[in-house]
This record gives sequence, C-alpha cells and structure tokens, in this order.
Amino acid sequence: MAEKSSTGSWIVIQMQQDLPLSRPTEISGELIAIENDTVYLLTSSAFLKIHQGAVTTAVLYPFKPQSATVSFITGLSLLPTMIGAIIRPDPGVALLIIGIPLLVTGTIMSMNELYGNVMKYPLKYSLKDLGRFSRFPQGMPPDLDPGNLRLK
Amino acid sequence: MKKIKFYTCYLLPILLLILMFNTRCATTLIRELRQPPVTAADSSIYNVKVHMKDGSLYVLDIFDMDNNSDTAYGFGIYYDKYRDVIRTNTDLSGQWIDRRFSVALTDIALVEVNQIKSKMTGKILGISLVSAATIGLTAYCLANPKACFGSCPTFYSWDGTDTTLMAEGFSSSILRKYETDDIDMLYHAHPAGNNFSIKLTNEALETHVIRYANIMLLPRGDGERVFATEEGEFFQTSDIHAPTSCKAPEGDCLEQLRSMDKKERYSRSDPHNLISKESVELTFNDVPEGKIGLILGCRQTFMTTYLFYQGLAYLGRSAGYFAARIESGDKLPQRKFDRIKDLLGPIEIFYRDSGGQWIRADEISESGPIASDLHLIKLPGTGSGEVKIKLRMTKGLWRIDYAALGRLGNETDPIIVEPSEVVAKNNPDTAAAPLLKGLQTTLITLPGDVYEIKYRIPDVGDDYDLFLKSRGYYLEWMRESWLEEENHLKAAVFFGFPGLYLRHAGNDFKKVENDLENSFWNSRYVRKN
Repeated sequence: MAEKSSTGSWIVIQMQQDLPLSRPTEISGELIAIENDTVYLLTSSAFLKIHQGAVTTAVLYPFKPQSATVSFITGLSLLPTMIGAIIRPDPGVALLIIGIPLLVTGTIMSMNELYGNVMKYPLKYSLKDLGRFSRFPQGMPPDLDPGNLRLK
Repeated sequence: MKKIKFYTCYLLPILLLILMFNTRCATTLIRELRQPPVTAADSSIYNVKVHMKDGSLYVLDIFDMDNNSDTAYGFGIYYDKYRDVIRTNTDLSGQWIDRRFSVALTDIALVEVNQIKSKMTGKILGISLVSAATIGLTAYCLANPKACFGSCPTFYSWDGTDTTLMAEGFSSSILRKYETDDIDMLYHAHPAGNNFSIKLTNEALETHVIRYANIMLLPRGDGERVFATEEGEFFQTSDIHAPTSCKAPEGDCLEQLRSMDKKERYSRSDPHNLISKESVELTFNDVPEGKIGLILGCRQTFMTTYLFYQGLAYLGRSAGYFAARIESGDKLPQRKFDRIKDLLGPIEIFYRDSGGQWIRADEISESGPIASDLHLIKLPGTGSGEVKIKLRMTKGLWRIDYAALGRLGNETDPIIVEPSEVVAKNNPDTAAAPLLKGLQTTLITLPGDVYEIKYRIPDVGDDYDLFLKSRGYYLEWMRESWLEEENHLKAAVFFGFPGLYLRHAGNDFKKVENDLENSFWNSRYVRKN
C-alpha cells in the first residue's frame, strides 16, 4: 500500500506541446517530483521533464486500485448462490435474483474502487496537490543522477 | 419459518443498507506532509515516511521524539535517494532486530503521514455478512424446492393505499380438462372514479392460459356488502356481525377471525395422518331476524401445493403421459387425481338447530393457497338470538381469516365489465395482448409476465362491490429437482391408494410444513407489489 511505499504514485499525463496545433500525447510513469514549473516523470524507458504548461490533464493513482479484490470477493460471495442455481436449475432463477443485490453492490463498489480514488488534474486537484504523492514531495534532491532512477 | 422471514425481511435488507453505506465511497488515501518537529515531545507516531533533504527516505513503523532532543528515532527501512535499501531494523513481522535509527531533525525535509479512509477490510466484511445471509435462504430453497415456488394467475389491485394481492385465478384448473370459471371477491378493491385496473402476474414456473378476466359489479346499499354463494348467487348483506366466540382445539381464535386483515386462524397438520379432521366452533349473538348467511374468508395452506408437486415429482418423466391421459378423456387417472382432492376435503359448515343437532349447511372447497376469498353460506333462520356454527376441516389445510354473520337482502345480478385494454408491462409488443373478450382468444403468460388489465366502470349511482370472474387453466412446469424423486412405486401408492399415502406422508410434510408459507412468499421471484 501507498502508506509503506518508497516510491511515488503512478500518473497518466496528457500533454500537448504546441497548443493547439499538435495532437495530445499520453504518457504514464512514476511521479518523481513536481517543482517550480516542471513535472518530473520516470517512465519505463526514460526520465522526463515536462513543463507544467504542456500538461493538459493528469490522472494520479495514489495506490493500486482494489477493484480486482472487490470483484474477487463479490464473486466468492456469489458462489453459494451460483452453485445452488446450477445444482437446482428450476429455482435457479430465483436464487440468482437473491444474489442480484450483492452483485449490484459489488459492481458499484468495484467501479468506485476503480474510478473513485483517483486524483484528476485540473478537474479537482492542482498539480501541487498531486506533487504530495511523488517520490520526492520535498522537491528534487541535490546531486540526483536521474540515470540511476529505476521503476520499483 | 421465522428464520427465513428474518433473513429476507430484516437481516438481508439491513445488511445491504449497511453494505451500501459502507461502500458508497472508494478507498481513499489522505496524505499529510509536515515539517519537523512533527510530534509533541515524548510522543510517538506510527507508519510514517521521513523524507530527508538528501532525497533518502525512512519508512518507519514507529517514529519517536525525545523531550528537547534534536534527534528522532524509529524502526523500519531506510532507502537511499534511488530507493535502494540501505538498512532495515525490523523483520517482515515488524519485530525489532537491530538498533533504532537516529535521525537528525535538521536533516529532515518532510514527514509524511498517511491515513486510509473507507478501508477495504470494512467493505469485505460487509459483503461477507450479506453473503452469509443469502446463503441461509439459498440453502433453504435448495433443500425445499417445492416450498419456494408455485402459484396460479395472481391478481393485484389498488386498495386505497397500495397495490395489493386481491385474488388468484382458477387454482384447481391444473389442466385444460379442469378449466373452469372462478369468481373471487375483490374485498379490498378501491376503484378511483370510472377507471379500474388489475395487475395480472405469472409468478411461478407455470404457463397460464387465461380466457377471460371480467369484473362483476354489484351495486349495494348503505352499510351493505355483497357476497357470493358457492352456487354463484350474489346477495346484498347487511347487519354484519363478528362472532362473539371462536373455539378451536388450540384455544380461543376470535381475534384472528374478527376482520379480513390477514390475521388467520390455522393449525398444523397431524403427523400421523394428513387427512385427520378438526373442528372450530363459532358463536354469534344478536343474530338479525330473517334470512341469514355465514360469511367466511379463507384460503388453503400450502399443503395442497406440496402434495400436487409431490405427485408430479413421483411421476417424474411420466407426468406428461399422465396429464395427456386426463386431457384425452381417460376417466381413470382423473378419478385418481380427484380422489386426493376429495380426501383432503372441503370446509364443511354445520349449524346447530333448535334440537341441538349439528346440521350440515354447505361446504367450501375452493382451492388455492395465495389469496383468501370470501364465501357466503346461506343459513336457515333459527328464530333464536344465538347461532352456533361448526367448521369441520382437515387439520393444517385451511387458513381462516374472517367469519361473520349477516342478514341477507335481495339477490342481485352482477353487471359484467369486460376489459377495455390489456397492456403487457414487461413486453414491448403491447399489441400482442389479447383483449380477453372472447373464449377463443386466450392470453398465455409465462413466468415473470405482468399485464395490466384496464376496465371502464359504468356509472351505477350507488356503492358497489367488485368481483373478478376469470376462466382458464395452467400447466405446471416440471422441475429438474423433482425428477430426482421420480419413483413409480410411490406414484402408484400416491394415486392408487391416496388414503394410505396421506396417512403416511405426515412425517415428510412435517419437515417442511413450518416453513412453507414464509418461504413461498419470500422466494417468489416476482414479488408482491
């Protein structure tokens, strides 16, 4: 979980270099720091410095979405009802209907987990807010060799 | 029985509400960044990250500060600025395995404290609780598939406050051969102006074939109600009195019979003989002079449904053949089937004459366990201010909701109102719904179908009572689970020697009897209202 992680959160950035002529580019990676006018991003292939003005939207995932866990637990919870429906197909329809509230709740919960805990710039948060979830919230440390940074 | 009701009526909705409340928000991380010093002197904080000015990081389980010290201490993992581990002083279980870290406050850039809101554990616990509650219901339906489903065409209407169950149509018409008219009083119906509608549903694994569903309108005077006899005569009835006493084998039953309020008097079956009889005695005082009649509101328990399903289960794959023989006019299987109905018997109504003898007045044999119907039994005037009535019936077969005595007025003829419109509520092809006006054009419904039948009530000037006259039949669907019980020897006993079977089936029936009623209402997949 993010409370124990030593790295920054994952961020997906849409950027447009030459507004409004160019097509937006999407890029994602670990948020390393945000300071002054620059967003520092570590992707799987490079360390990038992006000017804040080029960032049109950004979505930050403070921690790995738990939607898969929710779906798994919901599936497990529905298992008795589904087994019942298979064993006894005739009351099966009704048995499945018994499970519908559970399925609906599980689906809502899963969607919530998938989309509800992200931080979106500029809709709700500023880039400064997102910076608190970077690897270096205090700003880029001195003497850091970006070439030695690795995704963890 | 109470367990099932508790699950579905209380526990499941409550758990779902808690779950929905608990899951309305996503798991969120609240991150706070503080400048050192971050704690009051001589205190600790847990699960912190200490970001150092040189970019290194302490991820600590515990972070301590001593009084007036310029150094903080902690246990956890120390990373360099490239996030390679430099040192750790705890093991995987969090046990301290080395000396504590000493961190100079002046070297700290920020201290990060995280708080998780709306944690997953609470949600998982919630969903598990709901799941556990559904397992009980599922297990019951699996163990007792005959209890959970089954009904006839059901009719709902507006009672002034809600749309409620009013009647069930032709419950005994289990094949075309048994097709018949059925007249049910819509006792609580509350038409609004000249428009009246009925919701017709198929809530079982059955095919319903409905020839007509007409409204019968019976004008009445002030303080009167109109009731129907078993012979289809309608009488305006006044001076309606509740009984002054009701004695059943279990004791006083007056409270249950005082009004048509779904508080019913019923008994449990005899485990040693499913057709053993019992009697309930009613006393009426201040009996009006002139022609009088007993008004009885009742329905059957689910014993008949259980036995019907059990018979089909024993027949198994031969059920179709058995049914086809009846349909083709073979009297033998028809007589076998009717024999079971005869053995279960009607409610026999007796009155006590002036000589103290019990005289049989009539009987009520209308099948159906879903909606109570009202019946009028004409009684001879006794010339006495007190009338004693005895109801004799099979134990555990009948639920009596209402008993009253009234003075019979004029016999009256119904005004027949045919449907003005039939609308399929869950079928976009509304043109497909026949108007239910001719005997040749039937409305065939399948499980889950819902129709709204609309009527234009003519102006009659007075108050009136409504009855529903329906005609048709239904075909029960065989269930996979019943086929597991296919046993032609037992079927031979069931249909060949029904008396013997019913005397020995008590113990099996007892296993499900207590739960049949509630599990039926709680498990239909098209629910009330």
